Amino acid sequence: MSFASLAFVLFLPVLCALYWACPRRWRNALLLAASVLFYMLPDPTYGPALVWVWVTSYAAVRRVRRKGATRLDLWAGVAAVLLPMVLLKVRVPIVEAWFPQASRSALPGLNWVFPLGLSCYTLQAVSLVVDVYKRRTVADRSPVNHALYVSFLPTVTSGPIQHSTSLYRQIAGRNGGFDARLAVDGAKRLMWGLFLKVVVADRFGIYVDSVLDHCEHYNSPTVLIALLCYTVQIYCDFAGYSHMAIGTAGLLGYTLPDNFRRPLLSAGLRELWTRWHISLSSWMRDYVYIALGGSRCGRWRSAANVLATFAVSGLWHGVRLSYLCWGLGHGLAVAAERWLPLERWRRRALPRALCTIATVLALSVLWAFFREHVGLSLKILRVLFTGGFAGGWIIADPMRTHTTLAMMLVGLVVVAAHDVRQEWFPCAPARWRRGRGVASLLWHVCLLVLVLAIGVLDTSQFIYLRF
Amino acid sequence: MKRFFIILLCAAALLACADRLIGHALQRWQDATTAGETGRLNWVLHEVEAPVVVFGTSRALHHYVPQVLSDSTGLEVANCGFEGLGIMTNYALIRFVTQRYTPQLIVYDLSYYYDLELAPATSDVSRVRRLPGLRCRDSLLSAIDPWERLRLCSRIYPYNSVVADMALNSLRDSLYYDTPEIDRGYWPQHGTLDTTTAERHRPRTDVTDPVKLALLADLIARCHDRLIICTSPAWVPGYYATEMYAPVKALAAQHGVPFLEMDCDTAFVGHPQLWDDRMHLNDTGARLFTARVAHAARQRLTGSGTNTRGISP
Repeated sequence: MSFASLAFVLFLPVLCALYWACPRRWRNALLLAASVLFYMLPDPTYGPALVWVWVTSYAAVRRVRRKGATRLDLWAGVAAVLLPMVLLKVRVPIVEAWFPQASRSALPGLNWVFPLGLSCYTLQAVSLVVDVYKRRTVADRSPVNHALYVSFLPTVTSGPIQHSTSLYRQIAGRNGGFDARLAVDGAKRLMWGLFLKVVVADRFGIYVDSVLDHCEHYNSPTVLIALLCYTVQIYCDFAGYSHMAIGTAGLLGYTLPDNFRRPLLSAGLRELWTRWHISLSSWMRDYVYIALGGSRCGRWRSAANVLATFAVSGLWHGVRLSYLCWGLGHGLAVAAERWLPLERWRRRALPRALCTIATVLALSVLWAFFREHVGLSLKILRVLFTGGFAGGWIIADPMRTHTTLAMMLVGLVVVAAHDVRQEWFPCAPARWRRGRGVASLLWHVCLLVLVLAIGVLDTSQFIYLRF
Repeated sequence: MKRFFIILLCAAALLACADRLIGHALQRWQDATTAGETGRLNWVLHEVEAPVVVFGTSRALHHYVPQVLSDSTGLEVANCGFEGLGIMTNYALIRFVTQRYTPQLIVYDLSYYYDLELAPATSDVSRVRRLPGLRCRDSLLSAIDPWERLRLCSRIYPYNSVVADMALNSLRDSLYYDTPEIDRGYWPQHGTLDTTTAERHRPRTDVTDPVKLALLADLIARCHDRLIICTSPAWVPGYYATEMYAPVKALAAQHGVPFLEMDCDTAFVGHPQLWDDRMHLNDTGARLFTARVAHAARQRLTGSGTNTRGISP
């Protein structure tokens, strides 16, 4: 069940009504049941991996919370939790390498589908095990709380990946009543997330796929524009999903941290990774980069740690050469930025603007590695850097492209205005604050009208559901 | 919680009002449009009253010359073909038109990809949503997607993704379908096929869509006494393999509907001077083709038409 589906629009109010009507001591169990239903309804074969992660992480937590727990206990527990994710991620390249001619249907017993969200809730479970070992989180004995933490409905299918210090404490300390402000904020985030997903991301996706999948027919500027649109598509797709997840959690009384903070306004890739997919980048920082030594070592070792962390991040998306190239590309850029005087440049408007443009360009070029396979990625880059002005321009089919571009422009203007306002004008002037509630209501109703009028309302999936 | 519910109810009420008002405005706007595809749709739905009508994809649009059919039958003819519209929308258009009046003859140009092959129906279905006057609209859409009935509670939803098209149409000078050459719906092409360029074919899945087949079956059953089904020529012989038409041929035979299978007709295949591109005849080719169809049309109108495989020269 996707957040942007009609089924979820009907499911959520029923869930919220049952949740808040339910006695407090049963709420976690109810939410767990709803999470399992939400997760397994599209495909019950997702179940075994989830159960494995539940059981192994619970056992690992019980083990490491003891007084005499050793690092070996920790590593054994983490390895057990990571096992299904690693096995299923490496399965595809191994099968393709050893059986290049055979179709998957000819390999009985190896046709396991990659469970939705496995990459996200596995990392979430690992963070709990590590935090309990390091005494950052106190885990209670309740298997219900533990299972709910791992398969928390708003985040089970595609994150954001939660740290145990935040989410587990809210689950374990379930004493709060209904918070109207949190619920209203949650509803607003749901609407904004829906707008980002169906009006902007899916609309940009139509254009991006038509150009990048046939890039050999287009010229360099067109491919560059398509890559820039791809950046917007990925941003809005994932940020939209994150907003909807955070909004759903808000309606259920949970506070989740932001996952995106206007990343396309970053000046530099280092700054970008403090604003983009914050949950994953902070997880990688806390559990990979710092574990490797972080920046508490020499300059070159520190750069190597950055590279290794981004390589792991790339492989987390999939064990493919293209994702590894993507990760290493970001790692190299982030490591190299340490030698640039970016801090000085960011303080002045024009240098900051130029840095922002360069960041978006670099980000867009690296997204080429997120297409299906490295061959297509290299073809895109070849056309981008050597295609010149020969070949087709963006106006491929004027009668259809114009309308798609018009709708893309509307979406882009709304998102840009929203992000710029939040970045540079977060507080409304005093004279506007009186009508802020009504203005906010009208704004969100307009968003829903735009969703109905120009949203892509046919079935589509979030990009990050693939990982 | 009371405050939250009040805000929620206000938002819902505001949204419902906006939806009704904007939806009504969009419907009036669509009905008033005379240009582009929307204008052509309005022409077919509200103005066509010809005794002989032709429906189908772009192959109907470019292959059937009303003048030739008119001269042969002595009746007025309207070409209601559309680019890229398959059986789902054409079925809806035929049902809508027959709500207004009863044509004496309906010629349906069958095209495998649009009328039989299993493929996403989204663009086809989007036009059907915008036909609130069609009595069977909801049941037709529900057969494709059961959630459509719920979605159609919104008045804006049927115009989803069309708003920009309608807005831009009012700014454009010349639009698709607005060329002055169009004669009673027929759009002549004047090019000549360049056989030296490489052929590019979309791979065929050879899986029949049960919903499309059901719609064809219903169309045949409803209009059997005044329907002709025709497969017009294709440059690549056998691209639309004849065995894929077998279910439709069986249905046509069962109801006594003439089935003219001309997609491999050698009078057209192999003669590049008759083609504009690999899927569409030019005006010369279209006139020759229509003359062949006219014979079957005359027989049908006089009540002596039979199931025919091709028409002998």
